[in-house]
Amino acid sequence: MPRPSTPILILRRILAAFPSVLGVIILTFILTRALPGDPAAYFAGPAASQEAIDQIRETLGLNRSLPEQFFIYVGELLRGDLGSSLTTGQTVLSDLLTRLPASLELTFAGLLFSLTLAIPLGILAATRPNSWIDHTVRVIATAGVSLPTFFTGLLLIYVLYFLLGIVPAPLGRLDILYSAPPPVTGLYLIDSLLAGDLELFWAALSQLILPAVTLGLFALAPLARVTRAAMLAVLSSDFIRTAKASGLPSTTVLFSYAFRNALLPIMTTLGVVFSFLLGSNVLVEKVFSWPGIGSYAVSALVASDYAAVQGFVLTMALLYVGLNLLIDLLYIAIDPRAGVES
Amino acid sequence: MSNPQSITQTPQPKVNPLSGGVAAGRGRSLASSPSSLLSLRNLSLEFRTRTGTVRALENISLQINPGETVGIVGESGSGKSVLALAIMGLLDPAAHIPSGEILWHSPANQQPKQQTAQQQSATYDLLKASEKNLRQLRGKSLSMIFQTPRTALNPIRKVGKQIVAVLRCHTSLPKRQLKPRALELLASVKIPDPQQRYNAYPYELSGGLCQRIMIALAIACSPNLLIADEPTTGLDVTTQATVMTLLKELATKQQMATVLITHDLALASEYCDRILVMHAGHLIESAPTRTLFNAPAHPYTHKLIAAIPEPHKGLHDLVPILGNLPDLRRQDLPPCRFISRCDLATDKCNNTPLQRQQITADHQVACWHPLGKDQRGMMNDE
Amino acid sequence: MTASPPASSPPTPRQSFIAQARYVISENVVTFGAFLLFFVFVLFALFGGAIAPYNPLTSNAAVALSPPTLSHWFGTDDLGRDILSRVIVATRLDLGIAVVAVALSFFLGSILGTCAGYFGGWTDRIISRVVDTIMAFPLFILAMGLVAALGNTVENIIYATAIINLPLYTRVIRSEVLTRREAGYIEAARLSGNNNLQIMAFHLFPNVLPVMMVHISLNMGWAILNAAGLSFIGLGVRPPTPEWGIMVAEGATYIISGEWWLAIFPGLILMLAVFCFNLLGDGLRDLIDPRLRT
Repeated sequence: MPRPSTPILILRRILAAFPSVLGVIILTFILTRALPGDPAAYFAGPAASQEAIDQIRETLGLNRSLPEQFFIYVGELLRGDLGSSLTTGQTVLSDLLTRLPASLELTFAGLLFSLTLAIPLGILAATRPNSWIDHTVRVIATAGVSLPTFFTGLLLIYVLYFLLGIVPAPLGRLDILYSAPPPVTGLYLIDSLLAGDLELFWAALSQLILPAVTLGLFALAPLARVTRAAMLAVLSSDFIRTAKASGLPSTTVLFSYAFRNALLPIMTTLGVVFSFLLGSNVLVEKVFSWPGIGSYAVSALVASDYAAVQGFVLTMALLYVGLNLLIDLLYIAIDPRAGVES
Repeated sequence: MSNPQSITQTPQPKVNPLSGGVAAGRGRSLASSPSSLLSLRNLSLEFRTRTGTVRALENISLQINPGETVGIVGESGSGKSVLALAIMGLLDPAAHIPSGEILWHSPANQQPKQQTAQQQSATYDLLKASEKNLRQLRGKSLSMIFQTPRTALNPIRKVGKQIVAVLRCHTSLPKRQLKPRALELLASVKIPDPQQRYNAYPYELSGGLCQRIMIALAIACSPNLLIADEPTTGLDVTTQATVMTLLKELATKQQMATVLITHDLALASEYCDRILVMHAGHLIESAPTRTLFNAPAHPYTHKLIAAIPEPHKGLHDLVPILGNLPDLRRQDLPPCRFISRCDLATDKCNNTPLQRQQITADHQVACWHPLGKDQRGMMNDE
Repeated sequence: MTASPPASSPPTPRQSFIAQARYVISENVVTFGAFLLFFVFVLFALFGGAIAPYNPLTSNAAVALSPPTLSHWFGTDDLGRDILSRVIVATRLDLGIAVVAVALSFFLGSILGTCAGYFGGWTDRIISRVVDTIMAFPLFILAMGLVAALGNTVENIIYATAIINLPLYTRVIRSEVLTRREAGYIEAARLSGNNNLQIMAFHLFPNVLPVMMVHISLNMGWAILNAAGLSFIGLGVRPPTPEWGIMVAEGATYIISGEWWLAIFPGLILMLAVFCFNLLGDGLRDLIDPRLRT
């Protein structure tokens, strides 16, 4: 019973993402069009006149039947029309696109920080049971999930910025002295390196460190815990005993044999961790005045800028579906048993 | 630095644990019979658990000679697997060895890499050897195969690549010869269509095939000793026979000593030259196969043999051995751990530490009341 | 580490109860500590107003922004209100939101999960699809969208938190029911004439309950974090109502100028509450079924 070829599995998994995307679209449709109250009033905003509300109702087709509205909605999405923001006056899409790179840079940096700490810690804790590292990891795992992200951020600002002065003021991606590098990817770290501007690179990095660490700390706990648990389980399994009995060098046993197998449950957990990361992104952006889509959504919420908020929710959801898809594809690449009907 | 010449020239085995700082540090002991491959002397082993110390092995002494097939039989929990893991150095960290030696008599040209200068054979106490030295021995001179072969192979790596990994580690074969050699090995364990199976993953193969892959892994570097821990348990009877025949053939062809650990006495009787019987962490009898079956000396062995189902025996002929293994955590274990299940026990058994009795040159038993000739003779009539 | 009974006479029922209690507590000191802390928080929630030294809403400009002193243990905020009192009184709102949300989630999730697991087929497929759709969103963000759509009130915070917690309970109960559906005692109940509703309610569900206690406890911590996060970004609770999340938000602007006590104390208490529930959940899980431990 060999498994189907990899391209077929990849295709299958991509196709399986479509029901999720459909579900997301339906749910956001319900949120934006089908809830009690007058959606037109929401879109028009709290300061709108009755005329403006009626105008919006016409434009958005809110007086049509629900199924019709759904097709109109899907059509709009396919055209990239997410409405206009009341506060910025731009289309929601352009607002989001402008601000997305900042959020992506923050999330990736946070994830990188998390993984770089969690995986070695988890491996060390598993290979040295009952040592101080093991106990530390266990404490981190339990206490880490209790940390409110916004609180950790503030605490870090207070200690590292106010008391110790080793990080710059949390006022955004760059100090006002600097201007952004020529945009290639939108990620300041990469763009500044591409432009060869090391000073800019360090400036951007020093602004990024604290928010990334804050974001990553929340993900550290579950990742360290699952790494430790997965390594413990794998290290006590039969095939590791065989590998040792064959006299294979300990680095080969630990990394090639044990860790690669432990990667599987770690990747499964990564999917759940992403959910928390994307959510915490919003909080971290608010604390550090980071100009990403999270802080955009927060100001939109406060100003009742309805289209902007819902555009944000849809974008994040699609991003999340995409990330999960990526993880599953990686899983298929690593585990030869994936996709086999048992 | 002790002169290896003196080891092989010593006529009488002498116990001399301290033969100089460096040698003692390397775990060399100057004593073992030069004709044996592996000798255990008074090995005891315990596990420290939260509920008490489990005395898993007590005073085990045995010898494995080159080329022979020795069976170790006993009930589950008798300590057979633990003994094998102790020899290989694969014990759980909770294991503690309070006394004893495991002497590996390494034949010439089979030294761990440091010893390449010396062409003489040398003896190592595996218990004192460094992890690095042990790793050089494992898979190369000393191998082990396990139960449940499917889970004993890396599930996310092709089986052929797993064999290559062992070859790369222990041999100096150039890279392009690794795969052909692995294919040869697959063929030598009678795997049909080795080319295709090379790229297979364990989940795609049957239990019998997986066991043969494990055997290929184990014999890849022509070890001197192969320990097989319940290699056929869980396989159907036909596959059992195939695997055992394969093992026997390989042993003969490569002049490899085999230790077969099993609870199946009938299986052991078919394939082993000698059999060692274990009970509750004690080695209670050791004899050539035929002698053991015709004239068992220990009451336990006698009962074990009587309990083997055979076509002519009716259900009422199968006599179970009453009682259970004693709890090895007890502080007050009697010197003979079979006492509670033995019909012939006396006060002496309760008070005097067990000693090995030599019945004939190659038949030993650890019992104060070994079955007399007349009792043993009765076995032939059954 | 058992407490041994007195050597001479057999223990009286009262003595052996104490001995047993002492044994259980000594084996699980941390859980017991968490339970005591939980008790303290419940006290705060129920009687916060009476325990607090000052009125949480009374402003006193004279002592505004004063650091922790003996008269104001947690200092005062920008309006001169005593932070300790506000933190204590805030317990009712934070815990209350979480409790009601989790209860709603649990109730609805149990019904959905039991039906999905028990009936299978289309019921299962539809319910699972709905749950999967909710899970396709990062949960906190979905909560934001829900509150934006439903309206910015505390009730809607509760509903939003309940909805995003729904998948957890539905899935867990569904899988528990699936494993028990074919069990002997269910068959017996069916044969003795129970209809489906009776089987689900009186036979299946009580067996699932212990495991659910663990999940509820662990979930409470997360629900509190969620509610605080939502109010931190300005949803739900409005000033001057004391609530941990909003207090941290209000104090955030003062951290940079060094007045740390406005944000740090509410944040610490928030963390303590979440930690307490997580420890409780871990302890319960170890007591009920250590195999669940990851």
